[in-house]
Amino acid sequence: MILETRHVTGWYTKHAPVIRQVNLEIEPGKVYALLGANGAGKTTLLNVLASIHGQYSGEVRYCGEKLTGKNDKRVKRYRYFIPDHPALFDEMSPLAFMDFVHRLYGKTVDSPRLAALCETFGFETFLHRKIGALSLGNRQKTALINGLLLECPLLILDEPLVGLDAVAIERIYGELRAYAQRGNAVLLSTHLFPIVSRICDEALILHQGTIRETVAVHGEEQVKAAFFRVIGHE
Amino acid sequence: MNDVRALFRVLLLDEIKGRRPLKELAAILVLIVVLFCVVPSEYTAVHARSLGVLLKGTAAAALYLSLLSGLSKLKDRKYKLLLAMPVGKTTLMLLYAAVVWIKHIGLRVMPFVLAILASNVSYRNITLLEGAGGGLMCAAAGLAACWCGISAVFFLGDRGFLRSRPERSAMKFGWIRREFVRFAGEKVLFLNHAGYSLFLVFFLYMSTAVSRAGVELILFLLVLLSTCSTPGVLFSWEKPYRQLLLSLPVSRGGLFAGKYIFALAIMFPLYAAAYGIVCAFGPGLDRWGLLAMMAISLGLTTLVKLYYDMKRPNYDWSHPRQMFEHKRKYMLWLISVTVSVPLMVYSYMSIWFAGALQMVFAGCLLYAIRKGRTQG
Repeated sequence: MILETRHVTGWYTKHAPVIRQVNLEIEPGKVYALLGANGAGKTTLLNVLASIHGQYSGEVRYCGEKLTGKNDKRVKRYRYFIPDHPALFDEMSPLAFMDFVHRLYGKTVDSPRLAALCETFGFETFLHRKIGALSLGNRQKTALINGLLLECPLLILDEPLVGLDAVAIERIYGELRAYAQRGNAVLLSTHLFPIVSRICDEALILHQGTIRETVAVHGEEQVKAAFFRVIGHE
Repeated sequence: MNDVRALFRVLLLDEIKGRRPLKELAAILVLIVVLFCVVPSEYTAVHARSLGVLLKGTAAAALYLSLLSGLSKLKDRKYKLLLAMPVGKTTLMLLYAAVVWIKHIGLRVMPFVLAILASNVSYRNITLLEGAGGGLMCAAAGLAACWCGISAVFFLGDRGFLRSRPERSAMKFGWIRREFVRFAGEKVLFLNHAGYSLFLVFFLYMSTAVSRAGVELILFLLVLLSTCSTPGVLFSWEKPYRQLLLSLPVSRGGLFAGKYIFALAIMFPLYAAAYGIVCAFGPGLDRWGLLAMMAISLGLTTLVKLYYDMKRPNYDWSHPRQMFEHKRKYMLWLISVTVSVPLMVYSYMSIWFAGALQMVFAGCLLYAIRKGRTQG
């Protein structure tokens, strides 16, 4: 199991938890979608998994290893997180950023693969520009290419399509699918059913802070029906 | 008219948020009293002919502070939001200049100016009329300088002259290099640090080389070197990247070490210049002893301020100037002065004792910060 959570409850004010008793199991080779209405707790859950939000109880395990304050530097290397509006180090170029982050993960940038991904996303001309001068879409591409290059066992994405152009969206579907097929896993939060039906194997439906249902994906309509049934808008 | 009043209110509240005006005024009053007790009266004496110097000083301070505030405001998302609204640009500039005047000149510079003028009126160096006229002229010169500074920055910003260049980079990064590159690219932080350092060096030079001040005043000015607040905001400055830093496998020790080395590097020129001035023009002090004391002070104050900022970062800012203007700046000043105050007694006791005292003070502060409430 790449990721396991046991009874994870997260809060901003202790008496009003945003996520409650979340139990998750993420297996290798699969793409998971996290679905939920606004305010359901998707971003909070992802922030807990990414160690950004520290106010939680319960257990988070990556590749069997429990995430604690003492081992977090090592355990964080099992996953890479891309938020919906990635704030990357503005003073660096995308190439320098990727090199820097790879060194933090104890890896080196795979140059041929980088060249291939840049071609896929039409990103070659932006590789040496400063991130601070890039558009939202190109910042998103920087984070996505970096995540795909790192090949961590788990790639976590919060609304991965924000800011991307139509070509990049089409390409990212294939890349994420291939990423999972190489033995990794992908967990993405989204409001868009087409991406779920195109690339996801399972959909986790989060409602009022709890995972109410896990659905094996067989088509857009089936996921939609399950989602609306759970959130009570049939 | 109501919209102008509402806009002014929004701008003013945004600039003074997180501050406690009464406490600030009380702190300024305390500072004025301390200054007048420590600084001999001949250094604050003003005559009718030298009122012009006070006027020029006020205008220069207002120009510098308004340039800094304007540069910082250009980065504020709220400023961009206001630009998108049906608000006249000239009105916006005028109102912001007024806000900057109130914040910097009215509440900070003018109390000192008025205190100097009042003390000179009481010593009969100038008449009451000259004092009142001088005060009014300083206030007017400050307002004019604020207007010029803000207009110049907004005008240049609109025409793209203040955009950072180049937009390409092929550099490799580590924690230390990242700090230097960010610092060089952030005009507000750079100017704030350079301006404050130059002000302290200028003041020390004037006291030492021109006025030939005594040992006590020089040692007091050396203590003030530690109040340069750049090391105390380096973690707060990570506000835009705090989520990224939390999510990446970053070693906290590595990040802290990078910032500490960087902070020492940018503080070193200030201490070196001050040491050079005191050695060249100051009264007879043991040079090696002074060097050791200043080195200890530099190392310890930087360490304690950085540690404080790591434990209690201030993320309540929307443009860089607000990092320095937060209410916690008094805590940072107190920390700095507490650690380096043994410098003032160094000429009366052995260097070992003064150095040990600095270490004890720093140790106690580090312990208190560690045990205290932690944020971020």
